[in-house]
Amino acid sequence: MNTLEDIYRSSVSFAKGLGVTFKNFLRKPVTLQYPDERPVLPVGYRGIPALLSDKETGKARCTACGICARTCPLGLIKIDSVLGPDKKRILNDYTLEAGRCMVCNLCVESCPFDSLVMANDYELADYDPDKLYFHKDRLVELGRPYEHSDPFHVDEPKKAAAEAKPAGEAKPAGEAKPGPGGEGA
Amino acid sequence: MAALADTWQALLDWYFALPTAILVPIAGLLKVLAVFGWIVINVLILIWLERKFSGRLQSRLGPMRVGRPHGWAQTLADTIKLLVKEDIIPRGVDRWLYVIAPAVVFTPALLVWAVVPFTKNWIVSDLNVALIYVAAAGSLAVLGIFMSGWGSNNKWSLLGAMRAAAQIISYEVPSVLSLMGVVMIAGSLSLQGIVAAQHRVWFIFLQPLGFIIYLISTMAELNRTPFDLTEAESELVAGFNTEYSGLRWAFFFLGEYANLLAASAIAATVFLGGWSGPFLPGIVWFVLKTYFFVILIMWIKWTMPRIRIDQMMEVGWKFLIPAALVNIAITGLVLLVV
Amino acid sequence: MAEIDLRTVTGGDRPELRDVVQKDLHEDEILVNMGPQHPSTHGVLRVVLRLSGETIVDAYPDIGYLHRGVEKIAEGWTYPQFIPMTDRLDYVAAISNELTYVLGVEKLMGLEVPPRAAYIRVLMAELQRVASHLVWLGAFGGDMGALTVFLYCFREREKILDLFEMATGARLTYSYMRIGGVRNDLPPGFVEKTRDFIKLMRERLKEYDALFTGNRIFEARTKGIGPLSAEWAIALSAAGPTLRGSGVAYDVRRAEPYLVYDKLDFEVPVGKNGDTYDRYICRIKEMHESLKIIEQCLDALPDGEVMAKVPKVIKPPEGEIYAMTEAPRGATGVYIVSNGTGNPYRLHWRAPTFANLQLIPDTVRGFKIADAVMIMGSFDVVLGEVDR
Repeated sequence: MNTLEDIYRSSVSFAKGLGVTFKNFLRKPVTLQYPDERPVLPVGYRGIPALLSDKETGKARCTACGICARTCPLGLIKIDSVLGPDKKRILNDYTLEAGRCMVCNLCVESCPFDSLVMANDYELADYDPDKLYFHKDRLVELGRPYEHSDPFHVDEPKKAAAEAKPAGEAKPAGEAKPGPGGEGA
Repeated sequence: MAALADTWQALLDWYFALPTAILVPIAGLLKVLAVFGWIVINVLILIWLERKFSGRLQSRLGPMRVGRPHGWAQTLADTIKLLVKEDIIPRGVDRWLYVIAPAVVFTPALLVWAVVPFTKNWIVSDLNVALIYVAAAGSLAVLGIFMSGWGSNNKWSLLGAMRAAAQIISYEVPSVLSLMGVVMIAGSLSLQGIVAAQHRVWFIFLQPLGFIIYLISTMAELNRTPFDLTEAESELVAGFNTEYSGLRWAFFFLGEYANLLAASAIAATVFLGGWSGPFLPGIVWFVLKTYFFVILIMWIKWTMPRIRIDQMMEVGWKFLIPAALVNIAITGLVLLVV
Repeated sequence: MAEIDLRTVTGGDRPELRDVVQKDLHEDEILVNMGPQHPSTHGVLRVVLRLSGETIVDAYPDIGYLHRGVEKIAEGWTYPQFIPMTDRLDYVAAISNELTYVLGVEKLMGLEVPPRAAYIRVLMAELQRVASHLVWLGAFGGDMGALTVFLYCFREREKILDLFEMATGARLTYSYMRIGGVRNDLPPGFVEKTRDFIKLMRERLKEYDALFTGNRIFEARTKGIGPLSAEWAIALSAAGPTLRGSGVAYDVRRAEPYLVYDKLDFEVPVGKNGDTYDRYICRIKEMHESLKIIEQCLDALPDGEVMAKVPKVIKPPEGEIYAMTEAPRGATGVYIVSNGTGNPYRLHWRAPTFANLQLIPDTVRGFKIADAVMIMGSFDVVLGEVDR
């Protein structure tokens, strides 16, 4: 009798299992055909650190203070600067060793001048390892689409909105547009 | 068009005018080539089908890139890749066994097709002991698997080969016994005879127990999950074919799918009436029924977890063989009474 | 033909291991290397198996293939700099490691995190627990040859990773916890998406149940396999579901509540027999409990800041501290010795799976190879954490 019960129970459990796989057969596949289709990146996706630039002059906002270089756990940031006539540092070059960067966001957070940002670009591989040292121009170019280091940019607009109360306009600035980066598009 | 038909007719006339001593071997060779072509084409389709089907079961798309739409050329690309890969014979292998084992695994799958009726007339040889022949040919593959496992000089391969020997030999018994019920009803061992006996009702309805036992033991003989212990990826790395690569591995792969196809064809012939069916031509029915079994076996494979070796032996000897004997006894009794 | 002794493991092994595994090798026995490259050791674990036929006579785990010297690295880095490194310990549950570490530093500094940050931390840690258990369940199914479940689990995990990506900007190494809170507030839409996910996950858990829990083959493969007694589990300081599967209801979230766990309502599932099946059931139930916790966190999420007032340069006072959390794999601890500078003087990581790994020889002895794979799978070993 036990054997019969066992057989019955087994058959039911197998049928159930087959039912589940069949149910999933009817579902839409979740595969993303990557190079043809691209994921919709959320705001604040961390691709690679990039330099923010002044919208008017187009120059990097970086003041060459070197805090990011000291914050980076791996020491990947090298800043080359000279002392200008008005005792301000002038940025000559800003090098990021992108091949080793672990995109931890610490440099962006440490920057007191809001001049670093996490760009959304992710297809940055190269055949030549030397090209993985990103220099100032490349980093400025990567940071061009962004305005703030904080992707959600909640601090000031939220406060401003709370004070002025224009209801609909307190949305976070839509700087980090989802979608592919400038590289492959 | 007419000219072509004339040429064809002329060719046929010339051919049939040949002396028998030449005609028979040529006919045999042509049949072998035709069967081989049928197997290769179907295996290409089967591999693609398995990948697409398992993909859909798993919420994936399966191959999509090579050959659009739906990656139809993926298997061709894989075949070419396997053909041009370096032929590696590892140091320390038993060279002779290692080299011929893939062929030994593949050949039985080819042999089975000698007796499978595609339609009423399309059959290589309507052997009068076809079912016995099928069982005998099917159990030859274990030789090749054991040769590869022993010859590879690899402990995982050896374990896989040991499992294969135990598994295939013990499941051969219920597999043959389950077919005996059908033989008793049909009164014939020839596959054409069995198809003819099913013109009123398919044997799957007369022999449900026999069918289930046959399905289970066939899956065990085919080394498909839940019985894929001989290669059991997560346990034995790749079992008996761990050391194989390139063309030799491709032969194992080809053999696996050819066996799947052969077993499905036998099941379709024995239990679903083979090529017989209304409206459509016989070959269409035959292919449809065969692929029904192929899909069923794939579906089970991609759902079930793997069973353990001792449990598998237990199922075989303590459940399937007694059940098959009971099935024979019941069939005999019913035949006696009716 | 080259002479190769099939019975032993060869190669340039350390003499201490080679001598141990070959000692008194019976002539019916063979030694087999399972790993470091084997499909089912989940990483680079190597276990030398002494086999008699298919039966395991003894097993000798060999670790260290993924050693990166993380504890030493910590001594050269400042406290905040080490946060991204904790992600790389138990890489399947990165958030839980970060949480352990930042809790340790906060305890050392006597920092209190804002309530919103505390809730977000718990929320994230529990999402991570579900994600981690899904990886485990998938891999466990894969060990058993049920590859379909593997893909189902990863499909659902992807949803969690999407949530993480939304909140933290990354999918695996989040770098989200900060000393004094979390890096940024939850993005708009996160709460709704999480609620949707909970609903979906509850349905999908039923499907896994249908594929596994009642399945006859699954039961045959797991019930009574690799039993671990409660005494032995405690004696070898096993942790997490491995410990609770043996019937010991020890959960750091209950025993020494941190953050807001004392305000949340959840159960600690325990098993009875301590076999592979019980460990499986424990993890499945934990996923249900985690979903419950996530829901409560979403309901109770207070407004306010997500970062406490923290000095720019973090220099904890002299002293030493041990902080512990319940990570998906069990009680994870961090021991920090501070000498008052910006770098830890010494940092030690208590990895739960390192303790669980010791159980392998005792539990697999006398079972078949196929069982050994399942037993090792049921301990959920992550080598990034074991080897550090």
